[in-house]
Amino acid sequence: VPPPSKRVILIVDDDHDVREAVADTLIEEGYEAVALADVPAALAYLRQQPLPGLVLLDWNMTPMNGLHFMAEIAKEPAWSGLPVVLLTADAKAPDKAQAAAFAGYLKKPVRLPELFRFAAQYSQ
Amino acid sequence: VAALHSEPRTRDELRDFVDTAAVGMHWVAADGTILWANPADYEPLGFAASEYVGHNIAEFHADRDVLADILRRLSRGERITDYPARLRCRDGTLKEVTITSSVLFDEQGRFLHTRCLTRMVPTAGDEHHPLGRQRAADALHLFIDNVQDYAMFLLDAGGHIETWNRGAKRIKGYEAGEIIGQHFSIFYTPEDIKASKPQRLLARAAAEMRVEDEGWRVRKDGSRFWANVVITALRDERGELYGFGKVTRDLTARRAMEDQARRLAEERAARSAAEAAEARVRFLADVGAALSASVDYDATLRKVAELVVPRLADWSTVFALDDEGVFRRRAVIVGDPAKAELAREYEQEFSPARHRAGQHLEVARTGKSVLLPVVERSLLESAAQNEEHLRVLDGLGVRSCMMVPLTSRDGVIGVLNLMRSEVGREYGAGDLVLAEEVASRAALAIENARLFREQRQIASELEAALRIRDEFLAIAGHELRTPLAAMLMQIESLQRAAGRTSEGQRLAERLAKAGAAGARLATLVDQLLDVSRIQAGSFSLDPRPMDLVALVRDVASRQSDQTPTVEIRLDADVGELTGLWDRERLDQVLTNLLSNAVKYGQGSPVEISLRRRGGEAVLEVSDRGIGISPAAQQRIFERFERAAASSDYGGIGLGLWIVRQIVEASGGRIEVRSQPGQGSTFIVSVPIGLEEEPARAAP
Repeated sequence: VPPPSKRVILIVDDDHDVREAVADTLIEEGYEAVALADVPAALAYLRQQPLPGLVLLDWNMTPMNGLHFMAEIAKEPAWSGLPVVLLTADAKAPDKAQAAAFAGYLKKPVRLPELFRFAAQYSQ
Repeated sequence: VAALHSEPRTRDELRDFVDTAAVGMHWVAADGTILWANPADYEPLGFAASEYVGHNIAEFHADRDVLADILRRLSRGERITDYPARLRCRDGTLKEVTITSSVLFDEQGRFLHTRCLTRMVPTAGDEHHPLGRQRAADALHLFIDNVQDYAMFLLDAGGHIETWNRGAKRIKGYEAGEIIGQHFSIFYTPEDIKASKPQRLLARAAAEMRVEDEGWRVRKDGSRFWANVVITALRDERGELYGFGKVTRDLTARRAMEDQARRLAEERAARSAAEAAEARVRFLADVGAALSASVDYDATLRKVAELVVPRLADWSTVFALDDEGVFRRRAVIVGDPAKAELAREYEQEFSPARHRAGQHLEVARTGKSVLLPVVERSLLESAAQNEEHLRVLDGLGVRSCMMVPLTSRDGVIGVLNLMRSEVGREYGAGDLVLAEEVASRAALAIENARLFREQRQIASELEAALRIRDEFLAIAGHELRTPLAAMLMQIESLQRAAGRTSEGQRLAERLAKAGAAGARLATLVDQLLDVSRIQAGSFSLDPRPMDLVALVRDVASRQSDQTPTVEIRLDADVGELTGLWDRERLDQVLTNLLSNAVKYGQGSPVEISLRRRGGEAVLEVSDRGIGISPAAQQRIFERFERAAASSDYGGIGLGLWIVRQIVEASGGRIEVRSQPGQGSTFIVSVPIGLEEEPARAAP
């Protein structure tokens, strides 16, 4: 298992424009960003690559949604400390974030100061 | 005396013959003295020979003038034959006889004596009456005297009362002693007396033998009774009037009974007429009620035909315009279950030819009803299109027929045909009036049903169109929003990157403008999404405890970031105002009001005031800009409405409508105070929704 790479922020969103915008913005701010389109790809990444400092996770995706991702995370002890921030337009985001042990949530459309706050908190 | 044989009869033989003769014989002298008589002459009168012979004949004649006439004639030498006369019996009763007589004169012409034969005139019952003549007469007297139910009495020729009976006393109230001798007009009313009715009745009785009258008469005590009166003239043998017999019945009770019976009959007739009228009204009301409940077009047509059976028709049909404008038979209703199959057959059958001809088309064309009280067989034959049609019509039975147009505002929409099958129940004018009243209600209901059907169609089409639009808006809004958000993030990120170098400043400024345009677009998309959510009813609030003062500061500072040149002043009487609200939605309300104030404020400072008033938070946003006219104030909270001309100010007129929806959904209200040219103040009041924390006691 490679050592964690805290500087990397993993973005999982099925909308190409959104994940690219978030990734581009973070890279522009000096972070390393990896943008992936679905949960299976994200799980595969986590198994093969160094553990990122932060995951930004969209909720509504197929074939697996945010909840499925969190369940997989919980099964793997190595991933136990991985902070995941929910990325959603849903008004019920705070409840969902709390219920599924997210580190926090970012309401879409994402406001840059909030994005940067999470980025600064969890990655170097 | 002519004799068969020449031998003279002995004196004794002659005596025997005369004494046993069935005819009365006597001789009367010129002075009237009865010289000789046989027993048949005096015994029937009840006299003995000694009481008769030797007496003057005048003692036995009831009518003096009759006797005088007889004597005068005989003295002149006349022979009288069967001359009617009345003799007085020993008991005072009279006996009718006929007298045949002549006078025996001597050679010198002197009156020796009369040769007189007296025959009794048989009176009814005399010979046959078991009591015998005399006792029959007595019984009759007794009978008349005792009759209670009839007043029976005699008047003299002048109308004076001569006899009285028990019935007369009972009916009229007078005793015999006080009434005999009085004039009978005493029984008449003053009006009748004034009109000479008593005299006229007597005159008529005298002329016609008998007169009958009904009318009011007066009793002794002055009360009146309804009388039936028969007056019979009494004449002697020669026709001389000597009086009147009068029979009076009291019909007061009968008349009262008749009156009552008539009154009862009248009442019954009136009641049955009223019941018939009521039944008509109820029938029409039932028709109205039944039809008003019906909104389905085809069901209404059928119901119209049903309602008239059996009250007004044995069977009925309704023709109505179909979609192609053809009057088509829409319903056939038959009361007789035995004919139901025939009716079904008739209803389902449709021959275009039949529907292009027929009297119903004439009714439809003219709009005038047709009443055929009796449908002759020949008429039916000519009306039928073919043998089959005639068979059906015969089967259903057409004795009498009415065709009534169903007329709406736009003209005739149908024809109601009513038929009766049986002889004796033919239609009349009254039936037609009722049928027309039914038809007018039916036409209204049919028209309503048609309008309802059209309206329902339009409504459902409209509903579908609206649903498609809202679905489109929701999908489009959602689909627009995501790439827009990605684009805005890219722009903002680029702006930050460009701003880091001095060469990039100009680029950063332009990216900021692109971002502002994008933000405006995002706001509009959000509004569209909100509208579709509110329309679809999926708009809901998520209230949580929050501090309104902090939110106001947030929104104000964001606005200041966007429009740094406009001063925003906050005036709050509390440092913190916590309530149960949907933070995002209240943010939206404040953002909208504040951006409006800046937009229409013409650069003037914008003031925000926040107060707690009872259980409410009251937020006011004021500018000193162009203001809003009173007329516009009424409609700015409506959808797609705006106070200012769209050429001067952008926006699609949804902002304030959404604000109002949010405020009202939060249980609050929004109002505006404004004067054109002096600015506007929007006041939002929302309930705090939390129990006020009890004031903490100072330690």
